[in-house]
Amino acid sequence: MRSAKAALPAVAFLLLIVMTWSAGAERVEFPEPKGYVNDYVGVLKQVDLAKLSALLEELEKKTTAEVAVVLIETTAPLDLETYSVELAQKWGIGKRGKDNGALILVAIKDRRVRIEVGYGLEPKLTDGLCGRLIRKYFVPFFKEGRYSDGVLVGTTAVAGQIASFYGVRLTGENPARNIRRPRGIGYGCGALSILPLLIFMMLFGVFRGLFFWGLLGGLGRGGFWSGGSFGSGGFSGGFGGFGGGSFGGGGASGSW
Amino acid sequence: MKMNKGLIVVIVVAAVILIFGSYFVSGINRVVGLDEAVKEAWGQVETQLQRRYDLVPNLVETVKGYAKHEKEVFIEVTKARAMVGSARTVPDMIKANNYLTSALARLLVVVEKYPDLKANQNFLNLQDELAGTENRIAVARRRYNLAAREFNTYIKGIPGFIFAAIKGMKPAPYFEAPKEAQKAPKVRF
Repeated sequence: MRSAKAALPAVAFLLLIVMTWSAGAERVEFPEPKGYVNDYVGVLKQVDLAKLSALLEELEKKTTAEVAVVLIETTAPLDLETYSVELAQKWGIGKRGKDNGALILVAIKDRRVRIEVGYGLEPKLTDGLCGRLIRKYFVPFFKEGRYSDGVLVGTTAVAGQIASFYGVRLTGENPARNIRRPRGIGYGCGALSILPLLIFMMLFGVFRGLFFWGLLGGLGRGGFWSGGSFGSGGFSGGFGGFGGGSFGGGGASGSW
Repeated sequence: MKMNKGLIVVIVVAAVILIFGSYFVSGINRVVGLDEAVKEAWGQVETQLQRRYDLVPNLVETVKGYAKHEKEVFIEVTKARAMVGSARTVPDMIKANNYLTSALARLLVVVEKYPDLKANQNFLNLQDELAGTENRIAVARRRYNLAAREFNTYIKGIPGFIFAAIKGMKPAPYFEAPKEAQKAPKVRF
C-alpha cells in the first residue's frame, strides 16, 4: 500500500509529461478544407480557382481520386514535408481503403512546393515523376512570381497524369490553355522527348487539339485530353468533403 | 432471511470476481493491442528501410560514373549498407540504418561538387526517389515512436507493468534519427 501511494505522484507526473508532450505535438493548427482548391494566401485568380475546382471535381467523378490544392504562407514551425503529410492525413484526401489522394501544397513565403501522394497512388505518381512535374510545371512559373499560372498549369499536369493512369479522359475545358510559358525553361524537354510522336501525328493529320496537350500532358505521354467540349458544368459546388485516404510520406518537394 | 444473506454473499463474491476478471482481461488485451500496434508500425519502418536499401546500389553506380575519385564515400556507403543487410534485431537495425543515413548524407554532399551529375536525369530521378524514401522513413519512424511511446508508457505505469510482466513484454526501443538526418537528403533545386 505504501509503495502504491508513493508511486501515485510518479505516475501522475509521467502522465502529465505525456499529456503536455502530445499537446505540444498537436499545437500546430491546420486549416479546414474549403473545397478542392484552398488558397489561404489569396494569390490565386478567382477564375483560375474556379477552373481548377471544376477540373478536380471532374477528376474525382471519373476516377474517384481526390486531389487537393493548398496555398499557405508558411509551414513553420513544422518543415514542409511534415506539415504536408500531417495535413493530407488529417483531411483524409482520397477514398478510404483506396488511399488514392494527392495534395499539392505551396508555401509562398518559404518558397517551397510539394506534391504529397497517398499510398494508393504511390506506384503511379512516383517520387521521380512528382519531382519532374514540380521542376517542369510549378517551379518555372513560381520563379517569375506567377503563382496562379504555376498552380493552374502544375495542377492540370498532375490531374492529367492521374487521369491517364486511370485510363480516362478529362473532357472539361483545359484550364492551362492559353497560359504564356515561362521564359527560358518552358516545356523544352517534354517537347523534345515526344518530337518523333509529334512528327508522326503531323504526318497522319491527327494534330489539332492534341498538340498542346501533348506538351503539357504527361512528359511525353500526351493525348489523354480531348480538348474541345465542356463536360462538367463548371464550379457548381460539387465538393462534398474528402474520403479518408491515408498518406505515408510519398511524393516530392521543390523550391524556387 | 438466512438464505438471502448467503445469496448476497455469493452475488458479491461473483461480482468481485467478475469485475476483477474483466479488468484483468481488458488489461491483458490492452497490452497485447498496444504491442501489436508497435509491431505494425515497425513493419512500416522496415518496408521503407528495405526500399532505401534496394535503392542504394543504383545510386552509388550513378554517382560513380561522374565521381570516380570519391572512393572513401563509396566504401562508407557500401559498408553501411552491408551492416543494414546483416542487422537482425530492432536495435541493430536502428543503429545500422542511422549509419547508412549518415553515409548517404555524405554522399550527397560530395555530389554537390559535380554539376554534370546534378543535371543528369537519371540521377535527378534517383535523388527524388531517395528523398521520397527518406521522407517515408521519417513518417514511419514518427508513427512508430508514437506507438512505442504509448506502449512503453502503459507497461511502465500502474497497472500496466503487471500485465506486461505476465505477458513477458519489454519496452519497445525508440528509433531516434542521427543528427545528420535532419540536414541531409533534402532535395534542393
